[in-house]
Amino acid sequence: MGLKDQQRTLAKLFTLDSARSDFLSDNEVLKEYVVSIKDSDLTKDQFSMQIYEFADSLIKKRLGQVRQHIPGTCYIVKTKLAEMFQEYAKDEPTSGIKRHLYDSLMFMKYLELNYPEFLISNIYKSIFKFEKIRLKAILANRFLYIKIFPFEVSMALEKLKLYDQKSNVSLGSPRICFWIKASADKDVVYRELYPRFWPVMLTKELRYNN
Amino acid sequence: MKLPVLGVGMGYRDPIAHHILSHTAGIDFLEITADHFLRSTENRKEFLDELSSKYVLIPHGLNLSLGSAEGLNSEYLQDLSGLVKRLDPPWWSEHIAFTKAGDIEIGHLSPVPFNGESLSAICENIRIAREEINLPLILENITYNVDLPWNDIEESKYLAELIYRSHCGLLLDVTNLYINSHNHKYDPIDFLNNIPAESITQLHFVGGIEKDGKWIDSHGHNTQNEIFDLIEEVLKYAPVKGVILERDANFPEFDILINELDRVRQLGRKYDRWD
Repeated sequence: MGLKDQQRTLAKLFTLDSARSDFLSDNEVLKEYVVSIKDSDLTKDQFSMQIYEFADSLIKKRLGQVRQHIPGTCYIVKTKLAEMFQEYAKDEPTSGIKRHLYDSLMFMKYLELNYPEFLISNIYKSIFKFEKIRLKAILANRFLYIKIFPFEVSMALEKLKLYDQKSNVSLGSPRICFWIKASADKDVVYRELYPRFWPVMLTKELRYNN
Repeated sequence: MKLPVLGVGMGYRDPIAHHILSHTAGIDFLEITADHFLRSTENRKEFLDELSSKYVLIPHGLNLSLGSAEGLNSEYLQDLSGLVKRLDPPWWSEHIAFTKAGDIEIGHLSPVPFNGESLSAICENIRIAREEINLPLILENITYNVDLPWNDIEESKYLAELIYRSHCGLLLDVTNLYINSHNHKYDPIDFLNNIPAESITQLHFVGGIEKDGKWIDSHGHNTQNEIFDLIEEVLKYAPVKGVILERDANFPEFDILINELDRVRQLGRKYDRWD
């Protein structure tokens, strides 16, 4: 097996759980791959363990990057985060310079599809939506989006974290949020307004009960 | 080519940007992760120019995949070339690793086997990269936890041969050397003695963490004394031009980082590596 094939095999083993399961559970293939190539003191068990360690470390690295981009969404799924991310990422390699942003967006789509129960609360739904729009704005070449949120959504995560032990937290007044991106080489411009007069149904501050 | 002495600096990271911009007296130069500035917005480019007006910037690539048997990604190389030309640094750096194969981008630096076939592949990729980027290139050793069954020479001898054949310098990551020597049970000084001293152009260092008897390259811990001791051994051995603290996460008070730079700066002075 030449270097090109070795690297293709390793790339699959490092990034795809299905490839790892098939390859590393097949004793004959593994034996041929590892042991008979040279007189190595590396056993197939050691090799399997090292591959799994590498894959695990790669997933942890990706999760760390995703946490930075969608902290609110990660907060919403709380203790299930690592397990859900592992489930999503195990057969979903990333690519490109903006891989961390795409990874975050794909993970959000995965959650929406597979764990809608986490997004039943209007507060969580708003935070999720807010982060999704933000990611899409950064990734787009041109972008314009306006949305009304029933509370100060851009600060919601800080408030939820700060007051997580309390039972009743004000999340602030409604906001009109704007995202504008003129071209791929421009930053996203984000603004939020809090007009003085609102329809009655929106004037009451939303409160968070944990 | 005679390279300038840059001293002791740190890797630029967005979360500590304001500290970096206001501590110019304690930081001699910066290394930027090239990938964080590729295809960036106009504001980001302006920010890079601002950094460049205050510091010498060394671009450090992550995804050129010099170890790929399939060759280089020409689009990535073009982007990288544009950035390097914009900065016009005294040198630039990449890893001795592959990050893509087939249609998969791994997203992690992956080890190449220490053998003749991978040496030839890297040297060919370096030749192609040089056609685009005609500036000195230095190559960094990575940590690896996978023992590839195709290794047939020692890592240090492999690096020495690679440096000889490619005419590149070495970016010796001292933390990676420390971690690999611990995890793969070899003597880091023996490793060092196999590397031509004059090739060691730049160093990286940062703290790691030991877990279940294995060291992990966390990039998120303060530098341990054992790593400072190994830095001293390297500075004693080789005419190093620059050292970079490569902290990526879990940032402490900025003064702690500055103190780590000062400690290395003093070590370098002890061996007349800089003023």
